[in-house]
Amino acid sequence: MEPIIRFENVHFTYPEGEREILCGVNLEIAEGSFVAVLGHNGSGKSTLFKHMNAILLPTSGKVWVRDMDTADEDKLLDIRRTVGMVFQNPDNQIVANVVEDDVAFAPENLGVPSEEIRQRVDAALKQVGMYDFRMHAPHLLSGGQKQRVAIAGVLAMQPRVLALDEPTAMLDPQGRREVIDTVTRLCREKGMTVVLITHHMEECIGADRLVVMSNGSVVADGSPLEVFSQVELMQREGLDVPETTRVLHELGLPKTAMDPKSCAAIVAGAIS
Amino acid sequence: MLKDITLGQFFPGDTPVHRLDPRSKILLLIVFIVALFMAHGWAGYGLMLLVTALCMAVSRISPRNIFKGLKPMLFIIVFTAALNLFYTQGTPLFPGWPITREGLERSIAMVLRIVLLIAGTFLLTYTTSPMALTDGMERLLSPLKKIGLPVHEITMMMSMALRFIPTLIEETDKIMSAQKARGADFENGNLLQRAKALLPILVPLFVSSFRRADELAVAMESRCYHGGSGRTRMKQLHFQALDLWALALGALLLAAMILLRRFGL
Amino acid sequence: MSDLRVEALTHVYSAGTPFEKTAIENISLQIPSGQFVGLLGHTGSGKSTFIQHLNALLKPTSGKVLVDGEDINQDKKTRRAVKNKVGLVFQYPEYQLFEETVFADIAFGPKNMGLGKEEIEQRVREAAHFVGVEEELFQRSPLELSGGQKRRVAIAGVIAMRPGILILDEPTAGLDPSGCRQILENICSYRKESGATVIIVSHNMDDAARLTERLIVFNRGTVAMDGTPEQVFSRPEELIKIGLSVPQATSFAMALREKGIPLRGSIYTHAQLMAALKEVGIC
Repeated sequence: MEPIIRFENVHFTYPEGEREILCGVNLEIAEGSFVAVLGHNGSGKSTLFKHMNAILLPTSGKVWVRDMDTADEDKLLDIRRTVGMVFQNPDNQIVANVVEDDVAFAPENLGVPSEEIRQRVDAALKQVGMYDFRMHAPHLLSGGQKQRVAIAGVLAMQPRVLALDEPTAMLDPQGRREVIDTVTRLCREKGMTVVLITHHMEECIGADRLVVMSNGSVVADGSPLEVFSQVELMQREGLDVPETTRVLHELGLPKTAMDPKSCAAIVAGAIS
Repeated sequence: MLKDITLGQFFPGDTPVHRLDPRSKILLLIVFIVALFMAHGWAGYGLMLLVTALCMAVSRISPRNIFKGLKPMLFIIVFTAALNLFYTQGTPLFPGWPITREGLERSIAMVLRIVLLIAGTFLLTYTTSPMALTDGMERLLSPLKKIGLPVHEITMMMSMALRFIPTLIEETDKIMSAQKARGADFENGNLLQRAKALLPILVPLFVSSFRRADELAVAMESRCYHGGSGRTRMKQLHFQALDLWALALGALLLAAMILLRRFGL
Repeated sequence: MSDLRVEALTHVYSAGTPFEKTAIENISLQIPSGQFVGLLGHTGSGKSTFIQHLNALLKPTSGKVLVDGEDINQDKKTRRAVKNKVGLVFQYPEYQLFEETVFADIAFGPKNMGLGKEEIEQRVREAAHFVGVEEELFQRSPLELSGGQKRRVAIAGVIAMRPGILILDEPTAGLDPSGCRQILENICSYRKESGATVIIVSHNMDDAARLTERLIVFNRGTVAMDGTPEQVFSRPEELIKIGLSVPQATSFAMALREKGIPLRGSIYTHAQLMAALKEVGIC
């Protein structure tokens, strides 16, 4: 399938900075896929994120969103309505005092007619399960609920890609589950392309593809099973692997699964 | 203590007051304030009190919420009352007392005036979503765009400020607790020491506000915000029959107050 | 080194108004000097309200908090004095940094205690050492540091008060795995060298299992479970019922047992799981 986002040898250095943050990234995101990007702080994953909707532009190289060059200023709004962004801190991306007004913000900016905005807002809130909270004040919601409102605010643009930069870093386990379940469902049921930047390995297990970044480069890329199986590499990068994978690895057993049940079967098979 | 500040709060509802066009409500508030300052005698204040109570009843805003909003202003109210009570010349209420009849009357009138002023304003903010409020303001002020006033930007800033008041209050509370845990003392000392003691709160608050502003700007741009041009609204403002009635009642109130004043009531 | 006793502690927010909400109810427990305790519970379970009582930031609606046998809420003086004995590190403590230099920020607590200049300097050095903040950073602005460094400076600011009881509310929130590990190591080394009682609020079951000697589980404002990690994690169903999870090693051990592998003992860390597998002759 045609990739929806394409990084072509992207280098990036902040104008005043000395260190190169991205060092020649090549990456293609297939439409409809769920891609997780894992990396420690300072690995360049957030910088990569900001290249996806032209918040940052490559120092050299190109980023393509569908057939649009992110450096093309005339396409800016089209790029941004194609790639919706959700950020880490839920408080700093909600603009209105009422949930539904906040969700309406993007379509209002795009000049969508009023009746259609209403429909989009209701649909987006239903998709994230926050419709019953449409008249609530955002600051009284839980962290997970706020993040779901932020997701709805992006969905109201009807984007093709939902990109999230550590959306669960400030949430409790319950909120984390809410957010991850919501984006997984959007991908599986609505065909939304999801790019999830995170440093929680458990959030990557359900992805189609896992990309590991380190020092501005992609150091591993494959299915979560393939990537987590490279236990030494992950540990060298200071990243966690699932306990099941770690045990199979230390026992020298084949790492063909990650969930406890299948892994238990592998261990049991090795005994008999 | 900080949690008592109710500025920027909105209580959603579906009463006639909630349904009024925000532009009407803003105009009505102006009418209300003018009428309030017309009040002169007991009849005038009585009418204003009655109108306020009626509006509260119709909008189902409980007096408790109004009082909660008054709390931070308590000092000013008591101060005004005391000032008028003790420093108005006239006939003493009882022989030998510093309190005069005129002083008592004036202090009651002043307190009523402040309380009603605040209550009226709260009625507007409690029953109108900040989005609608700033939207209404933008529309009312839009003629000023012609003389180059950045009306959209001003009202946008207002609505952002309203949006972040609760967040910043919460944050101030947190920072205060954290500094108290490190032994900071906000209650003792002279004025200078107390002012200095605020630094450990204000510096982190400023730093985080800048960070928030930065992140918010990126988030807004990511949601295709590019100024006021070409923007549409989900909730379009419509004048309805209800607004006409309300404005007519407002005009009636104003007329009544003018009449009452003329007769010195 | 201080011990802590909580007697029938209840806290009601906005008492007497329609917004009245009981955050914690009738909590009694004792934490002996030097214990390493983990507080678990989902958001709203009352654990944040609870810890803010331990250094008198919140006043109990009823009940008592005793540190070293002394009621901390006797008067203004004891309420103030307890802050030197019980150090509380809030969530995201880096947001409270305000001084111009790292040194001055760490010194803020000791200065408020009214200590002399030399004493303050010694404590700052000591605290910085515990959290691995190099002295080269002392004259830098705390705002220039990286996220992990900021957090460690903020923790040092509390450690510099040499609290006999150190309480940390989710000290690793928002950090990446290596940042988490580093902070937890710092806390362990502080505990080892100072002998302080440490109470850590955490959402991470694996960390709680690995580090602490005792776990207290909050649910709906009361203590739902209280015991060693072994005791608490031997009741995984209860934990899951109140919306918490179990360590990964525990859930894998459960799956292995279901497959008929007779693992012995309570398993809640990776090392225990590997040892148990060895015992049954695998590897």
